Amino acid sequence: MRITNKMVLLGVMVSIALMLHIFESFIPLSGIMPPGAKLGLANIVTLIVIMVFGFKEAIIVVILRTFLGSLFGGGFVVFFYSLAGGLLSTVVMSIMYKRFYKYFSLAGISIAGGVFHNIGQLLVFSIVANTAGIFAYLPALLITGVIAGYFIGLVASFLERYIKSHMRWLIK
Amino acid sequence: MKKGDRILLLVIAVAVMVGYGVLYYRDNISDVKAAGAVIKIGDEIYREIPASRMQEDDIFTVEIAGGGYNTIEVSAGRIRVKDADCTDRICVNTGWIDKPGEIIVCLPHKLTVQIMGQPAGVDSVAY
Repeated sequence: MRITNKMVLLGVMVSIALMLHIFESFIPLSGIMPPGAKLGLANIVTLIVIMVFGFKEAIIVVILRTFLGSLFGGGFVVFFYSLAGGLLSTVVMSIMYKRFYKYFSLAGISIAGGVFHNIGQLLVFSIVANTAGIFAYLPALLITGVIAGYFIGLVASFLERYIKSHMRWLIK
Repeated sequence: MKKGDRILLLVIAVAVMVGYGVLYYRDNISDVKAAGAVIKIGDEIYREIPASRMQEDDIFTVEIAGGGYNTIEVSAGRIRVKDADCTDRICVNTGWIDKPGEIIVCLPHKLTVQIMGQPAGVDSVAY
């Protein structure tokens, strides 16, 4: 793939991820869900970027998306929580996709990504606030993380099938 | 579903059960009693409310350095964040807490409200 093509495609990926990231914040989940639970729609893009481009590009897209996302709402402190979760989940998903693709389906990889996103965020917060008490939310977050991660993984596998049948030029 | 997926789900299921087991133990079996609440910003203690003051109704506002506020309400041994101007308002939606170890967090403001615990036993001894 030519460098210009790659740059443009990654730009498109960042903007799609950013749009999903912002759209997600309009969906009211708090009240019924444990604090910090979310759908992780932007994870669809992260998965696709890992599939099509690779680890390095996925990290760049995640950093840009969380940075721009926190400009639109959240702010400086929230940026670090999102970044910690995003980076940890991207690292885990990349390793699983690259090394252990034989053993895991995309849904499984996405579930692990969702769960590690939550763990990363809680970890950073427990360091910032110097309290381990926040891990009391982890069991509930694991459940919502598995459910959300499964559906995100399904969406990604539909996209994978579409890319392989209609957009072969993308993976060349 | 592949082999690794099953193992992953199994590991998570075990972690969830262990987690809820610990929480159940904390809330129902262990004889730790609530001993007031602690409000922290970052890792600095902003205010401690002793158990004796938890029964009195009280409302006060915590001003966050760098902008923002959380209004905290104490009533009948419980505590909650009544209002806040943070972005996600998760702290407000958490509602009342009253059991030892329970915690309210406001990520954007780095604020935590936690119920302290004290091992039960002899409450007081009089001669």
